[in-house]
Amino acid sequence: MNAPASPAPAFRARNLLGVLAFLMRYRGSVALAIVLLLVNIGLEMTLPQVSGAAINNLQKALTHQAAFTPWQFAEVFIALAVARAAVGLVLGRVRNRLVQATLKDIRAAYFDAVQRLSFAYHDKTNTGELISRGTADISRLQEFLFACLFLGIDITFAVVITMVMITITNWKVGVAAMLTLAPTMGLIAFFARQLYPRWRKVHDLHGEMTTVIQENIAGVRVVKAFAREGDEIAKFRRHRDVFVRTTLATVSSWANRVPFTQFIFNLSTPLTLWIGGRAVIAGAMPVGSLAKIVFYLLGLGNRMGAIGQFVNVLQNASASSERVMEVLEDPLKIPSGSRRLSTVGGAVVVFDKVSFAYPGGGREVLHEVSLEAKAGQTIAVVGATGAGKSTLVHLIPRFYDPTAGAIRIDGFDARELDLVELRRSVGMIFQETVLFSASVTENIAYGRPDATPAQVIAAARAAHAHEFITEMERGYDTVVGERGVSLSGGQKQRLAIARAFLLDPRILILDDATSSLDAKTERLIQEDMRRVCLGRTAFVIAHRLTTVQHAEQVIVLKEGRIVEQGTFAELARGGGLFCELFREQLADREGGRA
Amino acid sequence: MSTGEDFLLEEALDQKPMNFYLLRRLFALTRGYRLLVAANVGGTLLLLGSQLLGPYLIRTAINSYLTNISSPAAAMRGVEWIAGCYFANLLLGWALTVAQVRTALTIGWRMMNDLRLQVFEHIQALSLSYFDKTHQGRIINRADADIDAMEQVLSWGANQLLAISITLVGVFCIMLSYSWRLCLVVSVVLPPLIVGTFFFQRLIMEAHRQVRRQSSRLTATLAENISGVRVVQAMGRESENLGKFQELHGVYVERAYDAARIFHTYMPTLGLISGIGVALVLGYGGSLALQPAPQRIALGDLTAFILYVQMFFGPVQTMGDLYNNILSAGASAERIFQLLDTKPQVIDRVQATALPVIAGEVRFEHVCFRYETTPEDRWVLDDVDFAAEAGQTVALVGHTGSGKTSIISLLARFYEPQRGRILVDGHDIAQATVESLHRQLGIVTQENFLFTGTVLDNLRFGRPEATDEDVQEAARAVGTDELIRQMKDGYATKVAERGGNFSAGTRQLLCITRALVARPRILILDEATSAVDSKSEALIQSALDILLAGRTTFVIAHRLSTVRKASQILVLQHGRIVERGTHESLTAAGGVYAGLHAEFARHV
Repeated sequence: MNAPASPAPAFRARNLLGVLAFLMRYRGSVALAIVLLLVNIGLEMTLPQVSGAAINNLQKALTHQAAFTPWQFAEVFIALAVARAAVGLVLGRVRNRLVQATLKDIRAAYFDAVQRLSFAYHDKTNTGELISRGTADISRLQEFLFACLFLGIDITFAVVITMVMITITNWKVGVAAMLTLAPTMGLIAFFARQLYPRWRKVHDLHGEMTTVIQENIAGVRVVKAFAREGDEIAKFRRHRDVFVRTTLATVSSWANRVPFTQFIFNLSTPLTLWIGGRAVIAGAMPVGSLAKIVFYLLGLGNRMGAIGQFVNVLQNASASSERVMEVLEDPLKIPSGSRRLSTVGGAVVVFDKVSFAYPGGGREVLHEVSLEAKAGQTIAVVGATGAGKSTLVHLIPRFYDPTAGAIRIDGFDARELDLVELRRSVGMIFQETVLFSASVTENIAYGRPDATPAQVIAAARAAHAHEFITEMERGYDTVVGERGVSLSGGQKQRLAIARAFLLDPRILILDDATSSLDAKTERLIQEDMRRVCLGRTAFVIAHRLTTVQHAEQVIVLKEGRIVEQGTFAELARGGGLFCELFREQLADREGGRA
Repeated sequence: MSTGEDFLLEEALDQKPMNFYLLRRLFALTRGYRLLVAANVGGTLLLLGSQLLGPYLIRTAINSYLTNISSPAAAMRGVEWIAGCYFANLLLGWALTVAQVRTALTIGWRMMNDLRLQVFEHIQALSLSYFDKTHQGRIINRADADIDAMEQVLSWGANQLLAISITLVGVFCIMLSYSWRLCLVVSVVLPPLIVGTFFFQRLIMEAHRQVRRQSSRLTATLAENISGVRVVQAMGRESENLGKFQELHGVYVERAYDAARIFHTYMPTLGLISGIGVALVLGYGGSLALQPAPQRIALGDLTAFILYVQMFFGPVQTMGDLYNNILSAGASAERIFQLLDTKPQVIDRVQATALPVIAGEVRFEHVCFRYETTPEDRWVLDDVDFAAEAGQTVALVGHTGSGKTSIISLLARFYEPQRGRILVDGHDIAQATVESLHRQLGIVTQENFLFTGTVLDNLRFGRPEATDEDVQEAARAVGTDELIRQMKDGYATKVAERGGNFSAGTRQLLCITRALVARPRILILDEATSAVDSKSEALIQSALDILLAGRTTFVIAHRLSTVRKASQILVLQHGRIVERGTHESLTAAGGVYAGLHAEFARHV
């Protein structure tokens, strides 16, 4: 009765095959599991034979006074049941190991793919979506793998063997049973497909209702401030009513369909009584065989529900596999080159007529940008929001590749360089520093996991972070990040600086690194930011122009083009856009913006 | 993910047996559905009767017409009659199933969604202090996951529980009536079946708890890597992280194996016990069939026994599953009732009256206040006493934690002071209805929270009855009309969750417009510090000037220009007003404010 949880686009076999390819890495286990399953079904299918034979023999004993030892049959029955349990015990373990091993491969592949996905991909996909693909969707693939390895084979073989057995016993009853079974299976599959989108709708409505709750609670201050509680309740009630109405309508159509299939299938029993009864009375079939047919039908009836389940699993898996495979086969992937860079000193970074447009975005964000940063220079990049500053610096570590032109580092096209090497020689400090749920030491050493504790402490000292770190109760072992101690903006940026000191990159990018700090903290940290740039080629994006006065070159961007370029002093006198921005900020200072 | 997500998962693992108190409160929810409940119970009983009738008909056919046949014609008529009865019984069963499913689910879903609404309504009534000390995710869970957990049990589970117990008793009684000897012998499988099921259930439950715990760690790691992916890539950490993930995943897989091992032992064991049951029927029943009269058992009885014995297993298995669900529903029910029993702190007094239309004069008289979480020996606001004339702008200045936010929270009556009074136009707000106060109050906070819906819906949030024209007029007045018209669909542009599709500057401008649409008499403004580009900054500045004009405004100031223009500045330190006056008088005095101002001004 559970609602299938995912949106289901058209059924696509290609993606499911991609999932099965993971399973096929374990051919041996797959074969073993299937063989064990077949043995298991075979054993199960002999049980009604034994019961039927026992009843037949018993009847013979009663009517013809033939010799009969009932316990013999009981012993055979128990022996078969024990064998079946033993096979089942092994089968369960084999199958589970197999599925878990496959899932482990899929999860690892997914995790790795997500980590390596291009920024272009991450830009268009939100975090929650990627997490849910890695959790809920992969869980659905687990069901799919179980279904392929078990449900499908089990249903097919059980149906075929049962029908054969019944037909062998009495072909007329066999025909009657098939006449009820065929429409039942057809209807179950048909109804399952029909109901699927309805359950999905129920699920979606549930999601919408949850969103109302979440928003209401997240925005509780606004709700209260505007005295909107009553309206919020009315809104919630509307969503709830639609949800309940749709759910009940869906339940109702479920009730109109699914029990009907059960009914059709169950018709096989009175038919068996009628047709089989006639044969028994005519003396053409012993009564135990009739009982045997009833036992077989009972076993099959228990499986009918699984057909609907199988159809749902396939539909779910189709959608889920598409979402997972899409990540694994990301077309926007950045390929790595093989050339290695030298590891010492600032690098020469050249932009040669670089143009860039975001994939699918259309408009060019950068247009024929050319610049040369000499080894050890600091380049300030300024301009209004949306001028292309961040995009420009993100091209250096190849978060994106230019759509035209080239970036050369020490004379080599960045695309020829080993990607990991390149990125390790570029350090970045972002506006918001991401700390991982790990110790301070691990966070500082994030880019250089092999660093010694002494090196970590030295870096922390250089970044003026040592003091506040040692003031914390557990010092360098303090767990920070989302699941640990939360640090202030300034403290986080100091850890970022420490990271950069330790990483010792040849190129350093400060992407708006101080703009989220308050004025006082920004002033305190400015000096450290400047020091970490020494001896490296640095690109600094800043809103507040006074913070980049020391830069050797200032580049002013406007709508993706370099409109001015020169030293700070030159530009400040020049009367151009930079001068205008600078004046504006000075005026602000008079006006007093804190 | 975050701590939040982590403990939410932990919470989902909580289990608690239903006790009498919970059951009584749950039963109270059936009020309004009692007739349906009665119909459902009646229908279920009939359905079970119909199900138990099947093997009985087969038995009768075998006993009366298919063995010891004397007249084939009569036997054939008998068999045809039985087949006809069986068919009729199937029809009846079908109809009853449809009715049972419908009534059971209708009751469950309706009842739980009544409760969901009740929870939501209660949440609206709760005071902010509750939201301060309770994690958002937890509150959301009450109306969401907890209700869902109960929905499952109450819609389907209650019905199943009834069906299972009756089936077990029914089957036992029928078997007893056929042959008490065979029945007692066959029943030896029952105790190991039931005990085994509950034993395995406990093991599986614990194993799954472990699996989920590991799974939540995996999810957290995945989430962290996705949100920090730019850093991961920038530092070239992909391989190390994959290694760590696989290590963690290894532990997860071990736990998953453990759980599966238990399950894959349980299922074959169940099959084995069932096999033993049938074997006993064949062996002992077969022997009985050969015995003389009193002990003798007919062939049809034997067949029916085999069918009935197998009817034991399905229900016992379901009972195991159900048992788990009932335990988690118990924990959910308790949490929900706990929430419903939480009394809101700020409620209208019995004799509360609506505030008339106010001019906006505000007076704090010796107000002392502490939050519930504040230590008893400390005040967050200590003897705060001031008056603001209608139309004045009051700037609140001080360091973080000095009590600025608390003052505006008290004015909005999100909390009530422990001592002192707050008067608006001479009316004590504690004696007024909360609604009449909030209707005349506008708040613009740093959060700049927007709701999903259209821009227009959001702007109208504070005054739903405002016409499109009113909204546009307000937007023109604060200068955001152009900005909104430039959006994709103008005023009909969709707002993503929390306004995620707009920049911080745009969000703030929309919130300012929203406040103006509400035409508040008193305005509370918490100036944002987030970085916005200079164009938006200028627009925000002028929009605020328009919004503030002619209204009593309390502003937590971050802009020097705002402070300079204020009619009155209150300088707060540790919950006390340490200085008050205008910008000029305070700068001249050379006290705390002068220091703060110097700090402001030094920086661009």
